[in-house]
Amino acid sequence: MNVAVLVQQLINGLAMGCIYSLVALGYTFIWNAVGIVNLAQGDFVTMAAFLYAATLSNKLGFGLGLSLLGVAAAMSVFGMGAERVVYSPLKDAHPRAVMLSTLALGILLSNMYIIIWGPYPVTTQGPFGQGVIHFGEVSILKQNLFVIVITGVLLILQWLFFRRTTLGKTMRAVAQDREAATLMGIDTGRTIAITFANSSILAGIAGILLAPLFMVSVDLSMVGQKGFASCVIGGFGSIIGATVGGILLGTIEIFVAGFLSSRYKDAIVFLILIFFLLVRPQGILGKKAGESL
Amino acid sequence: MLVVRDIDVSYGNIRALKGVSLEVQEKEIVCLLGANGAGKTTMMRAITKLVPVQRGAIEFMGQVLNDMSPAQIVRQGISCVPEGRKIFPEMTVLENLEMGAYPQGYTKAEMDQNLEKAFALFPILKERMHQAGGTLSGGQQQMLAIARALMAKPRLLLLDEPSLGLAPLLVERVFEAIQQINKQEGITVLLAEQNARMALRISQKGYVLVNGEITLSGTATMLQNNEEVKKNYLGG
Ligand SMILES: Nc1ncnc2c1ncn2[C@@H]1O[C@H](COP(=O)(O)OP(=O)(O)O)[C@@H](O)[C@H]1O
Ligand SMILES: [Mg+2]
Repeated sequence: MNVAVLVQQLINGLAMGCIYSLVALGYTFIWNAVGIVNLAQGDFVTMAAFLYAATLSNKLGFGLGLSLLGVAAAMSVFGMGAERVVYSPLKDAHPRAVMLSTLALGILLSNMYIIIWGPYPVTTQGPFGQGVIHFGEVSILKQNLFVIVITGVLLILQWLFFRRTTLGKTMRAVAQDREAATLMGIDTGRTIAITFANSSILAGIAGILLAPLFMVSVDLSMVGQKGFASCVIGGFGSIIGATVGGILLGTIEIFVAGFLSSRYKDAIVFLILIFFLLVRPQGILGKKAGESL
Repeated sequence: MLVVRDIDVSYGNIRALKGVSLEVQEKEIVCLLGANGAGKTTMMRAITKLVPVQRGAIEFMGQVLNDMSPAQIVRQGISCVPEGRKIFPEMTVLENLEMGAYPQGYTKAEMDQNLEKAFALFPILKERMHQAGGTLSGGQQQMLAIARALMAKPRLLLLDEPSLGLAPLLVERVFEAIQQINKQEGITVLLAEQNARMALRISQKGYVLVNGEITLSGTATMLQNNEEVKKNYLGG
């Protein structure tokens, strides 16, 4: 096995991992704010991928910038709507009830794609098509490099948003102590809706990044499960954990596919998930182990 | 300034407050004494609208608060230091204070000015400015909770058991600060306490709450000399 292939695989794994991280962060922010796992997160990704591939890119011919804006706008509205319908009416109920309602939303969405975009998988070129870039013997899909760069930029933007802006800080305050935040005069309902919007935008960007790499179909929602596994590996509720867990999972997965068999890839991911749930439920960096699950 | 008129608050079948009335005059320190479970926290939660009031009225500066949201209450000039302090544990001391200032929407200059005031009151907070709130000691957290509430520039400060879980020396320090806030800033204080001795020492007036009902009220001096209070709250 030569070094070039190793580096190539590492970068492919990193790219996949970046996408898992974005999905995992979507879970994390909602989990921290309201203590529920949004089981429709994977369907949010698929919805955005369809919207981007089938409608914005293929049909309307939008470029990348415009598509990003369009998907972000659509997903933020959708995220706030989802909060109003799925979470808000049940906010005083048991978390399990809320999670069931997110599960129902996911099922509803996966049928909506078929109604809106038809039963056939959609493909799209994306900004780089199958373009490859060469560094000596290493050749890398441009789209994969793009995924890594965009994720990096997005992580920095998220960090700045949560540390530097008043809105970001109020979102953290609500997640850390909702009652104290209420006493500070923060509108917690609105803040939680914005948290859903933010998680939905992250899912949306994950969808845009995935669309050119895979066929866009209902099966894409699998990244929801991968994102969930990333959270468990990194430690549910930990932002750094979600990021690290995602990157780790993406990398392991690509290496398993490359050196063992791509057929066992998903099985191995779920073995890792089960291993963590049994042996280290708090994950690598987590503190509280899913207490209200 | 604050008038609570004959209010009822229930949690399901539990009647936590039964026809409670009290009054706080401007610039006073008034204490609300009572054992664990008497209903002190419920009173604070009723004023700040964290629990709904089933009957009666709460008025502040001539305005009826009944239909206001918690956010509107803070903007009327009522800030609360809740029981157990409720610091944002993963936010820095500075960020905690900024959250306290949220209802005011200060400019940078106003923020700095108010931060300086908070740091003058509790210098330890300046030293710990960039430390996470959750890493502070109990006493420091209590100081942070008070400073955070003051950032909103309240006219009335509600304090729910500020002495809870603090060593005697720290209790002294916190009560000194409460007196200082009252005297220098002219902020009115409603203080809920189990520690009647300390509370009566700095208050002008007091109410005794037993099982959700006011059983006794009067000037602090009167309560300090009352046999009931001596026996039940001042240790004989
Ligand atoms: N969230 C709640 N649900 C049900 N009962 C409560 C709740 N909070 C307080 N209570 C009850 O209301 C009564 C008054 O409690 P509380 O106001 O906390 O008293 P205090 O602050 O004086 O200790 C108690 O009997 C307590 O058990
Ligand atoms: Mg209490």
